[in-house]
Amino acid sequence: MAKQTDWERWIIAHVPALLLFARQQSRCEADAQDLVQEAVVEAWQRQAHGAPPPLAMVYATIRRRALDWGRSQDRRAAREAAAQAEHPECWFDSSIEDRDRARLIQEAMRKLQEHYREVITLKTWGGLTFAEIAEALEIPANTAASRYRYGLEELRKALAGGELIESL
Amino acid sequence: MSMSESERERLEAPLRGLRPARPPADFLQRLKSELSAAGAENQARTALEAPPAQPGGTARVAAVRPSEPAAGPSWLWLVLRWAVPAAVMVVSVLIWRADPPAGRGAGRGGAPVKADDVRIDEQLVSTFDAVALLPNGEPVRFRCREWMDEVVLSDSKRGVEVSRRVPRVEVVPVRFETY
Repeated sequence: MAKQTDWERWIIAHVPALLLFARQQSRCEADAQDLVQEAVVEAWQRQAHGAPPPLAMVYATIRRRALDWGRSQDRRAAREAAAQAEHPECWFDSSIEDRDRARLIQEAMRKLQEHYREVITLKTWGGLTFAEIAEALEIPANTAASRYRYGLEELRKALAGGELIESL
Repeated sequence: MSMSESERERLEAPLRGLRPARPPADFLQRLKSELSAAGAENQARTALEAPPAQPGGTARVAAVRPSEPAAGPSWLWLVLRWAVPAAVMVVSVLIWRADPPAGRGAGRGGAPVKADDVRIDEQLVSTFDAVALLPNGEPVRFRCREWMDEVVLSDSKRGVEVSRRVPRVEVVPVRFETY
């Protein structure tokens, strides 16, 4: 059994990126938090001797569950109603000078097709390798790599209208 | 037109410069307490699981119960739910009828017992939930109830009462998300 501090360290290190991924997969903040909570608890419970769970497995669980929840009309209606009352979430922490950059990147990421966005998120902020991304998304590793490449190109196009691309 | 390596690196740099937003404090607190509870459950489960290693095992059961049946199609549980009490009833009647009058009504004139009252009862003995993991890692939750079915046949004229108590386990799969 892992010491309590092990999973607390794990939470601090990985939950921000997990929540970012869940926010992109779900329709509202409440759903995103529920997705992360269930996936993390389930992943830790699966570990026989309390070793930290593989990140790819946690991301895969979030994605699979988000798909299931998306299919549930009742849940969707209830959540969307709740989402109306919530403030729009920020995906990134940013200093005052970086705030515009963060906003532009978030908007550009939102415009991306989902299969590009999830690979870029897992690679850039989740810190997964292409092999791990392949496992999380249940796609071949080569597909993950090419989606990352094409996704970056799409992201650059999406940013081309903003100021960020000028500063690159 | 596809990006060159240097263009890609120039785009990746500002992306990597951003940190995912910190989760809300109340969410982190909730997550920690959930994990803490799950950790305690995990510890209890590990203690209950007698053999530490299961080579070749494909599925692990989270909540260990000795009489827990394996997962099966839902229609099977539905059939079992009604078939078992019905079978209990039929068997009870057959046993009662097959009993020779000499054995049952010895010293009472040898006439067959005629039941003028039949009572069927069920008592909930225990209820618990079990979580199993399928080989693909998908969790399945079962709501399990242990019942005690009782059939009492009585012949008030002769003062004879036949009682039969049979335990029954009812297992109903529940969608993990809706639990």
